[in-house]
Amino acid sequence: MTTRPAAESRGVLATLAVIHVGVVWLYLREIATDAAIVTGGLSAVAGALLARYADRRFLRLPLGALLGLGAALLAFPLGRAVLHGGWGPSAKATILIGDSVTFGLLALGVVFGLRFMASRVRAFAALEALYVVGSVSYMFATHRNQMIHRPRWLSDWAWSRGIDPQLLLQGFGVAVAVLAVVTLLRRQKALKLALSALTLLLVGWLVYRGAEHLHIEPDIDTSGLSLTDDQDGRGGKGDSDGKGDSGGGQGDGKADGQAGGSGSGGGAGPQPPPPLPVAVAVFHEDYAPENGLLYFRQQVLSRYDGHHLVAADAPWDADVLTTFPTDATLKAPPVQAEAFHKRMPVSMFLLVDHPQPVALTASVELAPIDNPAPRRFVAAYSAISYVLAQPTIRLVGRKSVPDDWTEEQRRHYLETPDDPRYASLGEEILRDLDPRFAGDDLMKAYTIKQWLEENGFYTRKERHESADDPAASFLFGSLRGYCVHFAHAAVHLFRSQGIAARVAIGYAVDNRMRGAGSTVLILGDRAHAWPEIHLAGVGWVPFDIYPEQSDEPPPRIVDQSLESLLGELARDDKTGGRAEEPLSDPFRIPWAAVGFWLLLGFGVTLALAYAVKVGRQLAWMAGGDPVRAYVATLDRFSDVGVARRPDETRERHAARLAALAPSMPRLTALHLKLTLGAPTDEARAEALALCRQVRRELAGSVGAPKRALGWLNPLGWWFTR
Amino acid sequence: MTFSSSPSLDKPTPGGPVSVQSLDDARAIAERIRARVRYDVMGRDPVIELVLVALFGDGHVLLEDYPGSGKTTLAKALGNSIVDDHQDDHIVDFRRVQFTPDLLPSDITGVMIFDTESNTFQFRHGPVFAHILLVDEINRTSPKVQAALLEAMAEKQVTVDNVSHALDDLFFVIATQNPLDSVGTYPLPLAQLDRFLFKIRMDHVDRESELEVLASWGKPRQRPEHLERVTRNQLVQARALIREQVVVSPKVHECLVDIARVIRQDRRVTQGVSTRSLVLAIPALQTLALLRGRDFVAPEDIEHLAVPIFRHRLAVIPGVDDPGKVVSEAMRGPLDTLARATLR
Repeated sequence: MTTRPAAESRGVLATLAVIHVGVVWLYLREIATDAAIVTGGLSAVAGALLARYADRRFLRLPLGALLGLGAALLAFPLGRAVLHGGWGPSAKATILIGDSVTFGLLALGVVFGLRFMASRVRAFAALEALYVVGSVSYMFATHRNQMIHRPRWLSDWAWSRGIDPQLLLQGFGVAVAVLAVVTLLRRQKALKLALSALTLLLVGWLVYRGAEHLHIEPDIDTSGLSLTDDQDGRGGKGDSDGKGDSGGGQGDGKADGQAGGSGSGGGAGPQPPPPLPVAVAVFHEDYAPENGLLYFRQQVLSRYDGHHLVAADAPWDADVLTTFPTDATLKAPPVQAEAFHKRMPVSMFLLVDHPQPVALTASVELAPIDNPAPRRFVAAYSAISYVLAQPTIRLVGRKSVPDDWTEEQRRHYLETPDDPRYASLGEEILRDLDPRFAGDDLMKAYTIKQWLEENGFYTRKERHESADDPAASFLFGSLRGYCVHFAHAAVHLFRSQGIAARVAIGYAVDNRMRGAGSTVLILGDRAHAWPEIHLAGVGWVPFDIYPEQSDEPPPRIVDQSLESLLGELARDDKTGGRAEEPLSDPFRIPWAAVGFWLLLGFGVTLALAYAVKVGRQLAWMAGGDPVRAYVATLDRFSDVGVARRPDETRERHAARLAALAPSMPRLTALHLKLTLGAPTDEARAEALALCRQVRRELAGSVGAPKRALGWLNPLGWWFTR
Repeated sequence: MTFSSSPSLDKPTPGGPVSVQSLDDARAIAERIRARVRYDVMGRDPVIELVLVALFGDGHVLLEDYPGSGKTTLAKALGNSIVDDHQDDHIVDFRRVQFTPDLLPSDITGVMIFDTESNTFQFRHGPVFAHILLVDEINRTSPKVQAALLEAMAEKQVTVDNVSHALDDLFFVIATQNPLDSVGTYPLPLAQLDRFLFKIRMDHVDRESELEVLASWGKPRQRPEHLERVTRNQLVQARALIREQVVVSPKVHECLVDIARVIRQDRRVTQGVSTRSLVLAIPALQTLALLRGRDFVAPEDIEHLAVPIFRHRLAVIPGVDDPGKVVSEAMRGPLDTLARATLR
């Protein structure tokens, strides 16, 4: 217990509490619910207050540190106990309560411990500063793996102005580190301050560098997608026949249409034309798909017409919106269960005409938005898509066909070609199924998917066009084909085993190929067909097949400048690209409204502060009261940052100010005589004259820039005491 | 605030009928004593100021110091500065008593003796009948002697054989004790310490002053002409004048009471300061204000005097070495409040 710092004033304590609330928010924003963030913030304030109380009560240092640590360690088991005990009235409430207990207790313990230690021993203030700086480093640590598009709001802004976000982020980090040092380690000698600042900068830099090397292993192998490989690919193998991949000959031609214009001329030109950009998607929330692919669905094929799967007429597949929103929001019937999905707002901007709207799977709402660049985009709309909130494998244990489906529905989604080979192959494949999962539809589907991935060979060279049933020709023949064949074969196999399935058509974009920011540029050659299976109580789930063997060249990398350019164009929309309906989650905090009111409150406070400031300056001129004049004079000193310290008498303060205004001690003596002694008229007159004198002296000794800042300072008077 | 020019004490003839009429006069008297004492005692300016405050504030001081550090010199110089122009024959300028374990109360108060010539008992005045009384090693004598002295200090009278004898109005005690050598002593209890206005802890003087002392030793110094003495009556009048005329704002009263309350509420304090100490503090603050050239008590007076006034009256829990620190911490808040109060 070497140096015991002086107790903080209330103002400093309040500032620190606000900082801690911000820090808790930074730490928790990615991992906790809004309710838990609010609880954490409140706990941080409570922790700061408790630490002050404990400090005043002379709590022993090790005991205080242990208390903080204990509360923080208790947080996790207690939170788990709440979760497992199911204490809440509903599952959602239980999760919220558990989350709040965990993070509230954690924040309480950490803030209490750090604050208490810092207020007891100066050296521990560095620990507190480190914790604060760490929160910012943590926020930016998401840039590992070069993902500098996080946080999106900052990098989007930077990209659109041609600034490298990395530079911005580093600058931001430096600013925060310096701020933390100045706030948390106040009242030090200059050398010590400089040393601590340097140390913290070094530590912050190390944290940043360290975070950079924390690689997260990608879920799928993307090594083939690197830039150089791509350039090899560009070297022109020329085996891609441009388009035609999507839906091929299968569908009713719509799929071909969507791929539009990219020169569907078959054959192998020596230099394939670059794929045409077909759409731009702007994400309004972070989303990392389970398998690294973003599926943008346009339509589904579920009706078996005797030869192929084709698009079914109403009322089938009503959950897939097939018309563009023109003036009202289109909502799909609630087939997708909300409990298992996350709402993902995405704005879509189509560059090429599509017969049906394209949106991230599975879109449940489409709303019109203003087209920011009508000459560039043929259509613009916002979508709310339901993406699975958890890995698909977690859904195991569910039936595919719900009990409440009508016989007609069952028949529709389970109809297979009149070919017994499908069922027998399906049964043969399922022999390998672990008996524990014997009756489980999802595990069955996984087994079939796995079989297809192991045995199928992805190639565009075999098109099975002439066959009566191209899927059978693929499945019972060479097992060589492309996505359409895989999707159809899988759907037939699924259906033969009692799993409701359909084929979805659209685009599949590798999330890792995204360049800058929240924008995804969809190229025509990313057209794709994939199976979807139905799970009772969940809805339709994309269930794509990834063949292990392929003769495809790696996909082209998206031209990032084009992507960011189009993204910038798209983001120009007036509605901000957001769906206009308020989000229905009752526990969601309306940050925009909170921000507005905070801003309004701040503005009003600022106006009030200036009013008081001006009022106090004017008060003495009006009345000629020497006390008011003295207060106004003190305000001028406070404005330039030399207010009286709480432990300073007025005389000492005046002596300190004598360096700036030599008449100040005399004025203060007169002021004290007027207020504590026997006031005389002469003293009054002299005090008033001296007030003017002191102001002149102050103006002479303080530089013009500092004085100007002093005039702008709205809160100087607050520190006059 | 400096006072207007010429004090009316232009010719301060000792024993003369000059009276003290204004605060300027009172200050001039105080400064005259200060100048004389400073001439004799080097490097002790803060102590001299506190002793002056006690002298004019009608209090007594307890000096805690090592032997040979100038306590007696200080007390003598003080006694020398005052001329007795009082008619009472029994009272002398200055007395010094060395307290020892075998001392009896009558040794300091005086005793009735039988006069064989007149066949009556006569009162023989003890050493307390003096203007300035130096009590050396006050903790070396038995509690009953201490109690006799403390009664004299508080009541300004002594009672022998049921007859009370009044002491002089200007009865000022400077007691000393050695802070370290405490074997065989009778430490003063808090209740008795409470009667002293200050307990002044003296540190060794600085190097320059010590060199000066060595240089001047043995050479009889001619006291400059202007260092005049003051009379006992002037001093008593000045005391009354200070009490009357130096303004003590109600805000200052509030501040003092608040400091006392904060000290009493402090967890480290087992016995807080007395109301008597607050009463004693007022004239002391007034005197300091005068010495600093003001006609009102200012926050800096409180800041300067709070620790010497309150420190020795506290009982603190074990582990707290310096009660003075408790006092300085306690006065921060009330002083801040006082400073804020002046802006309203």
